[in-house]
Amino acid sequence: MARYSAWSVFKNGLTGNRQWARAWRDPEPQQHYDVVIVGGGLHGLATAYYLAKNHRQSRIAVVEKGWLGGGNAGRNTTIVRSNYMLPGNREFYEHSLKLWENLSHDLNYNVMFSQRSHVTLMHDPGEMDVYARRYNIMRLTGSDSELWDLATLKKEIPHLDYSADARFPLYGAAVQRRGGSARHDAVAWGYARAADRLGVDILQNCEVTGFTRQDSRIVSLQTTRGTLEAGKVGFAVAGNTSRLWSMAGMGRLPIESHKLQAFVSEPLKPLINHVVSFAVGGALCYVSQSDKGGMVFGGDLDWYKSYAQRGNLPQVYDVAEAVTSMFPCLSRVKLLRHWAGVMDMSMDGSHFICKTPLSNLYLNAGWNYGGFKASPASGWYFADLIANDRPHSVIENHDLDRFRRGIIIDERGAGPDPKLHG
Amino acid sequence: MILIECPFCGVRDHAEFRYGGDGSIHYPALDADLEHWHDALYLRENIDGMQLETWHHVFGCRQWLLVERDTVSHEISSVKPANNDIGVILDSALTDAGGGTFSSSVGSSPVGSGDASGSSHVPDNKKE
Repeated sequence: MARYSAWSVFKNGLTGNRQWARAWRDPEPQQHYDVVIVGGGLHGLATAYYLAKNHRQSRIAVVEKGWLGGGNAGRNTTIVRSNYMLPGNREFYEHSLKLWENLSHDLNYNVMFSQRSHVTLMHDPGEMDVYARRYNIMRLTGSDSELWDLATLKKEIPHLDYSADARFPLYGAAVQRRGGSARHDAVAWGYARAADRLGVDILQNCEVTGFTRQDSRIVSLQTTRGTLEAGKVGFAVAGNTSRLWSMAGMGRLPIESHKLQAFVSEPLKPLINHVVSFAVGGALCYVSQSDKGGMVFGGDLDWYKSYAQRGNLPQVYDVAEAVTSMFPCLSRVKLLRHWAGVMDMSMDGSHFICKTPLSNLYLNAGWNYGGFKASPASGWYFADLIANDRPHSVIENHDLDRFRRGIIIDERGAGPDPKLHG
Repeated sequence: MILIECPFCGVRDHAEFRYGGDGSIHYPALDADLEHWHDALYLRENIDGMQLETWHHVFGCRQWLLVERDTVSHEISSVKPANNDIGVILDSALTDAGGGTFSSSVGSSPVGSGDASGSSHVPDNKKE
């Protein structure tokens, strides 16, 4: 398949754009694969791509029950940042951000990554101190960060509520300039196309319905498109992890599935040139403006466990109130769409990229609210784990057994209650 | 909106409640070994289907409830007080106050009066 370039755009333009080849193949399933990745979302596709590119693995399949990018890849607010503090998370998310910075070139596909700054609003000096610590740790470990006083914030984002009677008076902001946003569909399609070019079979409408096990190995997967024999199997299915886990005949996991809503408004002229995040007490929202002009925003979970990909009204109110308390100018803007994704909320708010009790099964799960930004590094480290059958030092504590060892990677300090992590 | 038929207050919006969590967890004795505590604190069945869970009627009677709810369709099949003895306790309180009994209306099968008084006291129509 041809590389995309300025020349290919020009040439295809001359022929009325009728000569474009399809972006990836639609192959028939083979009987045997060396590696089968279950889940054709961003993490699964990225894993297949890095397995083929970094580890020269062949005979790889990604099986997806629906269509590519139809799950949480298309149900998020596309925020990219690396403002994590704890060991393991810090290196992991910084690596992810670095992969984002070169992703369009690497994939030969424009993922529209826009480093427009991630701005966390501050409301009092105490909060500023906490964030100064966190953002200084970021600087000391090779990332970028800034603290803005109120005057700088006013200059950068003039539309916030700075009035004397503001519901949440502003104090300043903690900022990561290299943070930003990307186009979610393009990331799924870019990884799919790049993986396909390296020989990965992407099997859509291929739902896993069962596993055949021999002792502690999975020998084959039953799917709606036939039986696939697999040398190694990787799960990257976010909110459906527990379902597959029990289908494979295993017990309980430190994961609960909750739903998280997100929203997009009618398109507006350019208004917000940053990703703005606001959190005070129980109120949370994060807002950015898409290239089409819609205000893309989200907030907290619906607060009860759910596998339903649909949101509930009280949370629509809560998030709308949070957004309009920060940006009163948006109060009369109409919502265009809202959607919900099923989040794999973990017991400490951090992820799992690890081996499992089965010798040829590997797990990628527990992404909480933050799976989108993680997807490049998630694929990178998951591929490294599958290819080498040992965890990289960066993710050595991101395993299912960490709680037993007393290692809790809890950025928020919320304790073992999955709904409280974000 | 999920409607929860609180045995004490009647049918109410779920926004009046706070979700507790998995109601099937049995916490071990304080001196139980670490493995039991690890399992109770960190491991979940994460059922896709009917699940037993706890809800707290924060903006109502403030009672903890055990709710059987489908995590896919959100359909509720039963609601009962998390504390089995709460009916007895309320009965004695009512008797002291010269009222009737309460326990007959508080059991495993929910009762719904639809009373929307928002009062944390036992509504009058629950007295027999």
